[in-house]
Amino acid sequence: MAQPSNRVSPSTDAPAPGALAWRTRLWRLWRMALKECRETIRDRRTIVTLVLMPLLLYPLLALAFQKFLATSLGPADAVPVYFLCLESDEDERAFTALLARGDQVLRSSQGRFEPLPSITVGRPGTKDDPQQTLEKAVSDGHYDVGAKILERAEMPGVRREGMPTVSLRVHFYYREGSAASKELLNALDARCDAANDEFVGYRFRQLRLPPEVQLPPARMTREALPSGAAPAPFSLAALVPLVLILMTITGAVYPAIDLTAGERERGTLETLVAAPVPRLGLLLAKYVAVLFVAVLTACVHLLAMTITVWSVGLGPLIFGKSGVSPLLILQVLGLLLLFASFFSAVLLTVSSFARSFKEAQAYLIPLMLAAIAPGLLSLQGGLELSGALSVTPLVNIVLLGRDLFEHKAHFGTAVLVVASTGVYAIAALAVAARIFGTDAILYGSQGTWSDLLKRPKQSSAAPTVAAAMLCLAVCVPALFVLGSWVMQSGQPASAVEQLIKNLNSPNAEARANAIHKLNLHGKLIANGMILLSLFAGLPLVTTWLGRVRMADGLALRARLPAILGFLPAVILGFCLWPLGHELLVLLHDLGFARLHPDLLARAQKMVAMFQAVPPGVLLFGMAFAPALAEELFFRGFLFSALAARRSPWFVILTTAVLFGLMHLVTEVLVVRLVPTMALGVVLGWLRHRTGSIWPGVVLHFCHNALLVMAARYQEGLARMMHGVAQSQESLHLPGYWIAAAAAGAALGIGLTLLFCRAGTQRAPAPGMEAPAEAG
Amino acid sequence: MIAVHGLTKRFVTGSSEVLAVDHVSFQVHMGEVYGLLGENGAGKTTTLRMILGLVEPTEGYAEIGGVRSVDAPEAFKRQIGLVSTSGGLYQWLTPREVLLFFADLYDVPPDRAKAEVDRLAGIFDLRSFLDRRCATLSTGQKQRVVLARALIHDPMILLLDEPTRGLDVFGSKVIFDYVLGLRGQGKAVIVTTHRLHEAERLCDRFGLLHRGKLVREGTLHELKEQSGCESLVEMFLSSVGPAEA
Repeated sequence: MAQPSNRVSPSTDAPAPGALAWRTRLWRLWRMALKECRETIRDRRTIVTLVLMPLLLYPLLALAFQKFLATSLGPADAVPVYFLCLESDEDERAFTALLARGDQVLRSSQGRFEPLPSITVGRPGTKDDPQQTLEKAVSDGHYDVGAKILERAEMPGVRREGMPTVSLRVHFYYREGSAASKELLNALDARCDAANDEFVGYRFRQLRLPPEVQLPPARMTREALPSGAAPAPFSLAALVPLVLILMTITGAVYPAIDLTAGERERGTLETLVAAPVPRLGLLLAKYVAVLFVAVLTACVHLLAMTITVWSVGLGPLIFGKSGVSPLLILQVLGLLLLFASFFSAVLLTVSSFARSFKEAQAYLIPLMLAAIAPGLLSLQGGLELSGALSVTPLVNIVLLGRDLFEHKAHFGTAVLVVASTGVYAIAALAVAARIFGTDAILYGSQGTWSDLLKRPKQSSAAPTVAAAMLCLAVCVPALFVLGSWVMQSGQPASAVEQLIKNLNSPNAEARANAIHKLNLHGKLIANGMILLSLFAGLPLVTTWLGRVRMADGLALRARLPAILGFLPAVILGFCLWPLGHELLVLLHDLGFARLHPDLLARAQKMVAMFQAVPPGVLLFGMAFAPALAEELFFRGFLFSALAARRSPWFVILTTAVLFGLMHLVTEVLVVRLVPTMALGVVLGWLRHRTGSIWPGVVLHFCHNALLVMAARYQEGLARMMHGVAQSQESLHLPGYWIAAAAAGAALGIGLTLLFCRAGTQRAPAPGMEAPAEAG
Repeated sequence: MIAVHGLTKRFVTGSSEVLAVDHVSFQVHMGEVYGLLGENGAGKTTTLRMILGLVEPTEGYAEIGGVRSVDAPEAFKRQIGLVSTSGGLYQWLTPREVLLFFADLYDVPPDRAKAEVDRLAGIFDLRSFLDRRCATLSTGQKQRVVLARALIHDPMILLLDEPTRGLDVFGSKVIFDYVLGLRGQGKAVIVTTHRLHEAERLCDRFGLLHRGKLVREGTLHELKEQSGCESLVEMFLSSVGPAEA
């Protein structure tokens, strides 16, 4: 046998570990992921899942569809029939005449025209319940919409042919959560609106019209009724994404187990963790491999499904007239990629706890069953993708998939689904990063879920990125769900209706009474408390759990640069909003983010509501709480976690993007994304220059306080500044306002540059390498 | 030099607590082979794992040239090659792929890694199965690949946990001969083994662990003087007591 020769150690010419460039690390991560993929793909079990499953599954499913379901269900492109309930023949005559006119107006208009769906009109009352009311008929599911004619008034002087001569006051009843109900309601609404629009035009042209003719043909109100009906029909379009998702899971399960519990059982995990690679790097390589196999499985299944559907001719039955288009396949593939990224992370996390392959299987089977349950729920027809459902894992993806197949997906909701799922994936990875490769997992008889809460022995100056991401993943959906719940709870429809009616009323007392009924004060305070509990409370708990020095980890120190930063912070706080507004309008003008009239109307309603709320409550709920909580989280907690590892501008931009996305997800306002990110950049830069969150808190508070106070005292300000404010026709602010704001912002930035030169010191991150090398 | 200071590990299972390693301290100089000996469950493997940072010590630390493993884990690991009792191989990869993959993890440049694979394949006689899947290799072949993997980055310190487990006489001789060669290169080696006769021939100094405590330490000559025994087997039996052994 040859003897070892004396040679120079590679450590002398290998790159110093601390000096490993970001790009080098990324390349190594890529090579590690390739190795994991190679190993997984060579495994026969992966091949079985990848190839055999789709080959068997889809022909069998197609057979089942043809034999059992196709006979009982009509084709999806058959014109859907909706059921409308009216109380009398006279009501029916008047209302259908109105609808016919509205439909005619819509047909002749230039815009996009959705044909009137097929409607069957009937009366309330059944054999069992002859006295059934119109409301009950709708809530029991016998009808999709009920139209109660509350008032009928003649319209003398209307002479145009075909135009209704009777004005109707209609109150619509529809079923909450029923897509069919909503669709019919929207179709009816659009016809009534069209008839009204025609009338308004006609009225303006007929100035000599008798003065008593003030009423438009239709005055509509609507009321949602809780559904007391049997479940709506089974949705075939939802079954397809569910099947695809379940198959994607089957593809990801085996590699997830094999690359964690399997490796541990075979002893390869120990040698891997013994290598000089951060555990997060090892985990990410495994994640990429699991994701790759999951996506590959999804592609194979999608292909197999498309071929089967096409060859068997099931397309029209499931997807309607348009069938499966290449764009639709791409959209579904994107959806599967999103789902795979989320579920791969969950699978890796759960299987990381297992000591053996069998144990991992025991953990994952209940998880898969748990995943099937919400998926099956989403098969129920009429379930609408909105509210809490749009942030419920798995259900939101299945419903979005269904909506894509039914060509009725909404962009804003899709963004919410994508963002929330991405956040969940990050959260799952953050949990996995906390436990992967620890001694409890490697050798483990002591590995328990309580290890997640184990405090480290040594204190550190910055939280880990994984901890920060986990908190973000918990806070954002929680804020969305809790915030929506608080704002909607105890909000009777009548109070909202009353409020809407009184918003334009000159009578301040009536307006205030309507607002009082909504308990807006309490809701604003509750919202502020939720924000503080989540975005300030959770980082505080996490820094304590991670034994992070709070003053460093949350940037709470107020040393000289921070104190000197207060003055420019105040200036910037007061000067940034006109620039933000102009940015918003610019994006609107360029067509990137439309300021939809509904959005402006919502903003006006909010402003009207502010006027009856005490300024202290407004300042707490909309300025103080957001400023403190968001700065503590984004510029304190998250910024410190990232700043210990990355360059300042990377950190500033990343926190700004996440700050913008948080507002996008929680407020579902796409238009606010860019201005909020821009504000985030300024706040991040200020944090970098001063090394503290406090100037940012001041800036954020001043910015928000100025806006809400301006809204609160809008009427007084308008009187004071009569003629100088923006014109009604243009969304732009007066030029000299913008110039003054730009000058103020420049002054603020200049003062910051002048006074605050310290910059952020990089805090040593836990587990960072020391520059000195052992020998 | 690698130094171990008061390494302690307590495992807590429910309400009971097991002291697996109890304030173990020793030093190993460059060019020295240190034998960590002890009965099953004495704490040898746990000590090696704590040195490398795979198991978090309850107390104590290991250092190489003054750098502690907790302060610079990656730099620390880069200096060490590990052959573990439980260390396996990737069943669906070939030995060549395994060696190149680990060379990459230790930042060995690709050209150098290929040359190193050839060199180690020659030393451990891997050439005949270098491109066969690891799943098809015999126990001895696998163990030789495991050793080659631990050496692919030419570490200054080697931790060998039962490196000859499952090997026949010829296989063991290959390993022992190579370890002696490493000593000649000035590397520090810590080895645990049950084969006390071979350990006598291989190691410069010994540490005898019993129930987690380092009960004796020194060269063979020093240990003979301390214990009055003639061989490691006798010393081992006298240290732990015949009933326990």
